[in-house]
Amino acid sequence: MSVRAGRIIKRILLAALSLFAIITVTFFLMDLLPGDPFMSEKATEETRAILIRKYGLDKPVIVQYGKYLWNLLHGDMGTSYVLQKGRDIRTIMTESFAVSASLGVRALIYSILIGVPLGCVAGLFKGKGPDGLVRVVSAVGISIPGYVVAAVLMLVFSVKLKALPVSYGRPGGSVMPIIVLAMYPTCYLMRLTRASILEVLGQDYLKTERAKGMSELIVIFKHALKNSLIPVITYLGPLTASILTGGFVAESVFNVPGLGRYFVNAISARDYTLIMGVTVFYATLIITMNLVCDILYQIVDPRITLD
Amino acid sequence: MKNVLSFQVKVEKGDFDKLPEDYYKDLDKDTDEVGFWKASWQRLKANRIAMVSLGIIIALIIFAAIGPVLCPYSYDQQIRGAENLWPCLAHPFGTDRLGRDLMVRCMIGARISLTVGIVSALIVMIIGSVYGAISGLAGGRTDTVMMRIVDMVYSVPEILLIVVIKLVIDQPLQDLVENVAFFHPLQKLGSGLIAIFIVYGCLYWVGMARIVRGQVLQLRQMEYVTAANALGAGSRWLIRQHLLPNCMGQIIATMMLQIPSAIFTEAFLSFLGIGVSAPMASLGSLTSEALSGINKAPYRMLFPAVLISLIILAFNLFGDGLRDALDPKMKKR
Amino acid sequence: MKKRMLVCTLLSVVLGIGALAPAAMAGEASTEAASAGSPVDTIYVTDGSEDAMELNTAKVGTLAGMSACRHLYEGLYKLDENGDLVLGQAAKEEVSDDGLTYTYTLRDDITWSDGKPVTAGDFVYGWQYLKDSAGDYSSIMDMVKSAEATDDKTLVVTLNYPCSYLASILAFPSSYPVRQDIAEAAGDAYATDPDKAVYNGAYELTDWTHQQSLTLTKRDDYYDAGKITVGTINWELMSDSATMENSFVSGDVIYSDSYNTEDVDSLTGNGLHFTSGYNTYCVMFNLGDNGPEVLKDAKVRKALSLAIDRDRIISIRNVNDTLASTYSPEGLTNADGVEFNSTVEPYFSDDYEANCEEAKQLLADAGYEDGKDFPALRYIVNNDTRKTDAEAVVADWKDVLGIDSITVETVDNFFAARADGDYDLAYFGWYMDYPDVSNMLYTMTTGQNDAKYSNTDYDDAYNAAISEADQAKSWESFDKCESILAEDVPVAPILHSQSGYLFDDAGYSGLVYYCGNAFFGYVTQNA
Repeated sequence: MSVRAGRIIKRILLAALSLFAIITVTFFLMDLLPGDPFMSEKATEETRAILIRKYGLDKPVIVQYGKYLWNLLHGDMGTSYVLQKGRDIRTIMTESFAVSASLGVRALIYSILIGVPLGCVAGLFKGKGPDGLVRVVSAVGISIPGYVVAAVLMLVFSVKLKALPVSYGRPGGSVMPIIVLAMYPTCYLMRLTRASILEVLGQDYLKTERAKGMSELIVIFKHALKNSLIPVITYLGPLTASILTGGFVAESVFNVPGLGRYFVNAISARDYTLIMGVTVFYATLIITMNLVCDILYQIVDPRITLD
Repeated sequence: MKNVLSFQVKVEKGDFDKLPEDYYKDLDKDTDEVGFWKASWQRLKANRIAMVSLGIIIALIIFAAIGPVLCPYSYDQQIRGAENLWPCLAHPFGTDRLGRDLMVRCMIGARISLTVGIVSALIVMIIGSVYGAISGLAGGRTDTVMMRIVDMVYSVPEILLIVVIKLVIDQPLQDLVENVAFFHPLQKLGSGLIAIFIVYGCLYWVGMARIVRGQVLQLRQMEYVTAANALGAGSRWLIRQHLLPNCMGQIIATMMLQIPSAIFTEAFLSFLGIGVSAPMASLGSLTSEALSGINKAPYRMLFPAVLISLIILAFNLFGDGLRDALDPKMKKR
Repeated sequence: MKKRMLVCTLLSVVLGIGALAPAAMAGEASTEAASAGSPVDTIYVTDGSEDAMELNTAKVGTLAGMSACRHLYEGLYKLDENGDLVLGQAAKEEVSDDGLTYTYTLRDDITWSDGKPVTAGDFVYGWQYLKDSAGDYSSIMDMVKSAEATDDKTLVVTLNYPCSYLASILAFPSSYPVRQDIAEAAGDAYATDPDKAVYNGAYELTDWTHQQSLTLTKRDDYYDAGKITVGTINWELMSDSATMENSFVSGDVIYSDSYNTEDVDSLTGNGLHFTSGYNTYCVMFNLGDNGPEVLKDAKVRKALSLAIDRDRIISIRNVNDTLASTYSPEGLTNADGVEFNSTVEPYFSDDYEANCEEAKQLLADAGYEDGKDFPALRYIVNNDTRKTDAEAVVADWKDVLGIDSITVETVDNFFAARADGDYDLAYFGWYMDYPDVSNMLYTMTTGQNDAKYSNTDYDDAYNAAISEADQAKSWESFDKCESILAEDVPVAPILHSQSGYLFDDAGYSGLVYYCGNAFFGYVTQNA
């Protein structure tokens, strides 16, 4: 047990190191981005210079980096320069993550509830009707770019049928973003579960079980399902992180005030503190997720050890 | 003295008959033993979906490669007076706002998207498999460090990094291609496209590296490798003779599945407006340009969207089939 | 992803009927037919995105931000229900005979949303605060020499020169009062959340769900509350023009400041309105040190400009643009009501074919006959619509001049890239702050343009024009500026665009639209 605890601690330290490395790389890459946040058609070079000085962007990058790290250690992530001018990054993160997460959790639950059972059914009925249907649906589902789906959904349900509101803020406004968010993972989970079931069903030990006269149902429920969930769980880790932090497309098109838009918009706007904010936030989230997953993984399948 | 217990046989010339010349040939015929690749191909051939997908892929490649030559228009030719045409005989896919024939643009777009997909996947394959193989073979501390780096790359927000890297390398790349004679041949490709390859190569090799490392570790434990090792086989020989051929199936199958993902990434960059430079078109840029006209001219969205989905679908299904066919364990099913 | 940048704005100088502020502008502000409709509890509108939504009056530079500010705060002047400028927070204005001293007496019944009275000191502080904030319009009140609060209700303003369009400035958000205690307490976060500012306008901000919506609630203690017919304005913040248009078409909102330009045909007659834009849309050539050698030759630039088929671009854009054959837009009139453009020699003839011939000749003279050996150039733009426009331009150059080495690119962080000279050709569109030709022509003076264009003759002519008291001579100098631009071609003017917006005039009336700013307080529901 203590060996395992030691390993977990080591894992956590490594995670912290990873986080540090990611922050560093992003910071210096960001410095290489051409341009700055303070230019517009009407802004003058003077105002631009004043603001650059004000935010210390005229200092050498290493000084800026040091200052950022120091502030970060004290829990200060600065304020946004452009997208929500003057607001604290932590507040922005909390607010927008709450929205993304609430959509994300729902999308995640739907994709698991739909994707995994359908995948199982398809796997168990390989080659028969349900299998064909699931394969077609899932294959088509992962083949259409999200923004096409979003545009078509909006055209059909909002503009033509006037059944659903365009914007997230209205009653029923979360339906379409959830569909867009959940579509890819649902279809992917179907395929993954199906493949995984097929793989497990072909394993020798199941043949042995069958040979021993165990009923097919017990074989399926006792062994096949449990073991075929391993790759699914592995996939769920990164999926959770990415779905919780929102989808850029779904959030932009349906005007969702979530975190997902910032992964792109903060860069376009050169909102440096916000870029760092989302990076730190996302990296922390996904590193934690991976850690949790590894531990879960071990519980499901004790043969696998950390590292 | 002759030891009666000793089992000595004196062999005289003529004691044995020579086997007929074609003896081994017949032996070959008798067994089911065929080469790995041949067997895989047979398994693949039996997979109807995979074969249909392969057919679609070939058709698409022909569409993209030869199509533009047969078209009377060029992809950037703005036919004055033929703006905003719905699909008709002269323009089966219609024309866009600028009066460009959408069919030839779709062909060029498919060409770009396929190139992005295939080249990016190749880059990922090379980086990933070399990295994974080194990591797996080296083992120990090197392996740990290398795998930690992989974990790290896994936990960066990929969209953010893709966009940052794309924007950072765009300008230097442009200068490089324009000013350094050595890179002039790349000019035709466009710095935007090269940037996409680099971005993709930078981020997506990790999956491949993990898979290859896993394979290598697994193979290293195989009895026959241990045996070969014990018999004094050098590591170079080992890699060439055992590891590479056995990993190859997995590598190729994974690579096949990278292609749609790279095409998606390019489409996403186009959606953000930082894909290929105009007037060049990719299927991604065609669909995202069509977004603004979806009410008025849905046909502009329809064709490139169908094509991009078809490409992704075909590669996904073919990749699946290939993975099944190349994985010898799968043949039982 | 559309970012609506500051546009026209400032004073449509409507009422400033002075020397340089033409009377012809008076029709500028428009209101929807003021039929007697019924008041509405709540309306939904969309105007601008989160990043455009700056509610700090000293820093605001976007149209959407200014629109919102006009609801929340009020200056000495305001817009009435007809879109005319009338006294707002001031009850009385007295002007000295030399036109240099204005004395304002504030109303007695004006309060901030926290109950405190609005004082003359709030204006004095606000104007100082404006100068200290590095905003886009920090220098807009430079004509004010000093402002003094002689008591809580009296404000004495001294000007550097008589300013005929002062009323427009005083109705402009930059000139609004600011409460010192609130602004200082909040620091950089001033006006970034409802509780981080106080409001003296017809509405107060009761909720700001960032990235999503503002809620503006009518203030019952506003002195003119009786005239305000809308109780609550739900102001949705959107960034995607398709989303905005779809929200309007599906009836979710009754106003949108943005729409897909491709849908003009279906929107015409269904709520789409166009008003004069006072702008010029150009191709800018990089003449700076970073710029390509080939563009340093005026012959090449002129050839490129001549070869543009402007009519075709206008028909492709399909948004009621007019052709630009001079740098200054139309609608700028002098004291005698003469259209400035009519006094300027157009840069090229009406005969496109002839222009093309001239262009070919010029290009051949420059050593690039039929586009041979023309170097690769990069044409940068900032959004997809402009990318389409640019592609049409590039096609003209290819078809007419044989130049096929120019590529178009959408660049994010476009303005910084252009300011830093990271381009060969670029989009340039100047939306005038006020319809005075000086506001247009100063953009080509040395140091004021991203083309890095600098010509001392031009600068001299410009300076002569603005310092000249004699109108006729001043006008002549402006003409000279234009003719220098016609020769030098630092930019190739293409068209003048209009500003468009969507308003549900079948169901509602009373929208005040003033130079790109919308005011919803007087909206009523049609019977």
